[in-house]
Formats: sequence, structure tokens, C-alpha cells
Amino acid sequence: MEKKSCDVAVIGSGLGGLCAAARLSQAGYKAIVLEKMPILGGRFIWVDYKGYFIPTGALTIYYGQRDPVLLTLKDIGSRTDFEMGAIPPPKWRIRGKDYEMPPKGMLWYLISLASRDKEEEERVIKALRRSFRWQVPSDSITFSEWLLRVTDNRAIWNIFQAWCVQIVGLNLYEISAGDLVRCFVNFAGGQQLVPKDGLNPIIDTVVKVIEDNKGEILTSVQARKIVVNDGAAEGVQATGPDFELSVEAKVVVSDVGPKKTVELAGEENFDRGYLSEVREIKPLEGFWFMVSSNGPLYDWPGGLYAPESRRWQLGVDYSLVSPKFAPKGKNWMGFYQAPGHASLYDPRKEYELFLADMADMFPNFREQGAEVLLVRHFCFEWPCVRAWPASERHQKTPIENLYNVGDAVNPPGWIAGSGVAESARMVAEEIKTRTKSGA
Amino acid sequence: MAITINLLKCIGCSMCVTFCPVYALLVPGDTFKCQVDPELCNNCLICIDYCTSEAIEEV
Repeated sequence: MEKKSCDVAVIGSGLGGLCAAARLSQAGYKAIVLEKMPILGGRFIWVDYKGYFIPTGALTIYYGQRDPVLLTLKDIGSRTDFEMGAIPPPKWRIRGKDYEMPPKGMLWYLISLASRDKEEEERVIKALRRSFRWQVPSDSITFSEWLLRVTDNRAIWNIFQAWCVQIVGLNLYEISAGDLVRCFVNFAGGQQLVPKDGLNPIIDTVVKVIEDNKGEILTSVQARKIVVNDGAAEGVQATGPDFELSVEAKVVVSDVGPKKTVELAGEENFDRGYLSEVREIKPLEGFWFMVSSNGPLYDWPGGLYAPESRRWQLGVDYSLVSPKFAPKGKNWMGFYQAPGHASLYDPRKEYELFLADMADMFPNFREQGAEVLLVRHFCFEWPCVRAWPASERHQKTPIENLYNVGDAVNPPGWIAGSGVAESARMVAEEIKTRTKSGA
Repeated sequence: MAITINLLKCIGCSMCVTFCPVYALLVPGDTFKCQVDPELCNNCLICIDYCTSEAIEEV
């Protein structure tokens, strides 16, 4: 058996694992990252498929000044000068008409379009402003319940539903009012961007920081066991293509989700209460439909919101953002679709609804040679997000020196890559205060 | 060597589809379960490395 030792062993090379390793490496901690796949980045990279450049999961980042991904890159001293393709404001199709959005104040403009009269518009805007600036609504009610107390206007409800599904991945009747408002506030002023080379340069630059600081990143090495002794984590045992590996570490950081972390460390090392909380973590499920076509299905790069559709609420032609994303003469559009109900749904039915929406929104899509290039079903261990927003979070575990990072343990109000990077920052800061680097 | 796909484990993430060098794998939208085209598959087994649910096995 091969043996290694380090300050921090990181299981999983998703954005969370790499950000934690980079932050700690840069602070002088020797880090070893173990990744079971041959590639790094998990659900945060783009790959070539039949000449199309498509994501494994995440598509864009929200590059506001407060965005934890950007702050991580600055904190670790890496480059931030990626060539970005800003996605212009999408058009919104409301009552059959496509509306261009203003560069600022899009939400207020949409509410004015959907309101039945001025009094309703002012009432909705006033309630929203109060929730943003005075008191975040309770997490004990859904945003749908909160909104229906303000207005029963279905068109306004549909606008929030479309936005919620695209940004958070949940339906309006599933997310807590508090968490959706926190997301609004945190992402205010940010810009949705697609790096023109996909998200890979972000992963590459984080990896470089780890390697430049004497960290090691091992691919095709699967963690088999977190070694626990007397209630504390002491390392990881893993299997490579043709070797067994034992990594001795002061701290173990897991980026494979709390459920898998428990499995690797052994249930016998956790109390019943913690195990119960971990079992209750629900992954957020969803579908990516990627459609290729012989030319664009619409003619502006910002995408089309369709709040009155059956299921998909936003389609974006990413090859209009960067021509590198599709072969010459071809386009591809991405559609994220959340199931109508998180636990009671039929994938076949969801697919039928997707095709029906396509036919409604783009009646000429068959004539344009459009076909489904790839579908991704996100669930279980490859979810859209590992835990619903505003659910219990477990960055620290009952096992001393064993932490979780990633999208199961992101702080409330932060979602997707931003939440992942923020969870990594919090864990890295905790480790710096508790554990010294070096021998 | 060849592969077998355990449809009970397959979640339809399409990671194997994405990385198959000969495009022998497909996840149809109406099933969300992976299918392999035996005419195209060259048994390179790369898909096993990318399977997120341990549904693909060597036989």
C-alpha cells in the first residue's frame, strides 16, 4: 500500500473541494485532493461532445462584486481576467408578446407589464421592497404563499415561478419565502456570465494554485474509507487504478455530500440525531435538455423566458454567446426544467411536456433541423443541487476534523457555484483557526 | 470484455454519453436510462470511469 501524509485530505474535486484545497494550500497547508473520475471539476466543467461544448452541470456564474466565486479567485491570488460572454437580458414572452428588458430594474418592469392596474403594481413592488430592505419573510411559508397574500394575479406569479426555477431550481410552491428573498438580495447587481471558454478556466486556475503551493491532485483515485480514531478523522484510504493508497491527514474535507461522507466514515461513528438529519437531506432534481439546430431558433443572444409555458421557462442559445460552443453552422440551446413536483413525477411525462413547450414556442423547430442533442437527469448522487435551499446545513460533522463542503452545505441565500465557493471559504477559515499547518 | 448497464442504478445523467469516444451510448429523453449500441461500442470501458451511479459494469 502506498502511503502519503498531508495537512488536509480532500475527497472530491468539485468546485467546493478545489476551492477549499486552494484556499488552504495558499495559506501554507499541504493538501491532497482525491478524485474518482479521470477529470477534475465535477458538475462545474464543460466538455466537448460531437463538436458542441456543453456543461456537465453548471452553465453560468453570477459575477457580481459579492460573488463568492470571484472573491475566492481574488483571495487565492489567481487570475480573474477570464473572457466573459455576458448574457444580455433575456426577452420575456408574456401573453404571446416578446418584451425586451431594460438593463436595470427588470423585475419592476416585469411587474408593471403583468399588473392589472397601477394600484396592484405599486402594492406588489412595495411589499417586495419591504422584504428586501426591512424584514426577510419567514422560512416557514413558501414564497408562493407569501406572494398570494399580496396579489392573486397569475401573470405575476408566473414571472416569479419562471425566475425561481431557473435560478434556484425549485418551484415557487417549494421554496421558502425567506430563502428566495435572500437569493434576490445576494444576487442583486450581479451579472449572469458565461466564460467564453466555458467554466473550465476557472477550475484550471484554482488547480494551478493548489499545485503551485505543493498540493497534489490525484485523479482516478476513489476514496474507500475515512479513517476515524477516537472520534477524530485521521486520513483517507483510497483505491487507484492499480494501487491502494493510505493518506494520513490532520483534517479531512469531503466534497461528495454528507450522505456519502457518513458512508465513508462509517455510520457507527455518528449519533442517531445527526444520521437522521443527514438522511433527511433531499437532493434537488431537474433536467437539462440540450437542443442542436441548423441555425438559431431565435435571433437574440439573451434567451427567451416563457413564464406561461408548461415546464421550461427559459431557453438560451449559448452558441450565440460564443461561436466556440457549436460546430460551424450549428447552434445549441439549453433548457433547464424542474419537475412539477419534486418527489412525484414521471420523467417520460416531463419529456413530453418539454417537447410540447418546444412546439409552442418554436413552431419551426423541426424545419430548423432541431433535435435533442443530449439530456441530463440530475438526481441522487449527481443532482442539480445536493440539498434544498434553507435545509439543515452540516459543514462540520460530529467527527472532529471532518468537514463537508459543496452544494449540500452552502449557507442560506447562496446557491449554485456561489454557494459552493462560500461553503469552501467558511470551512477553510474554520480550519485555519483550529489546525496549524506543517509538521 | 464488454459492459452491462444496471438500469435500476442508472440515473440518466449522461456523463457516460458525453465521454464515450465512439458515441455508442445514449440516454433517450423518454426513459432517462442509458442504452448502449453494441454495433458501435468498442469495449474501451471508459464509460465505467465516468458513471456517477456505478451502474455500468464490466462483464
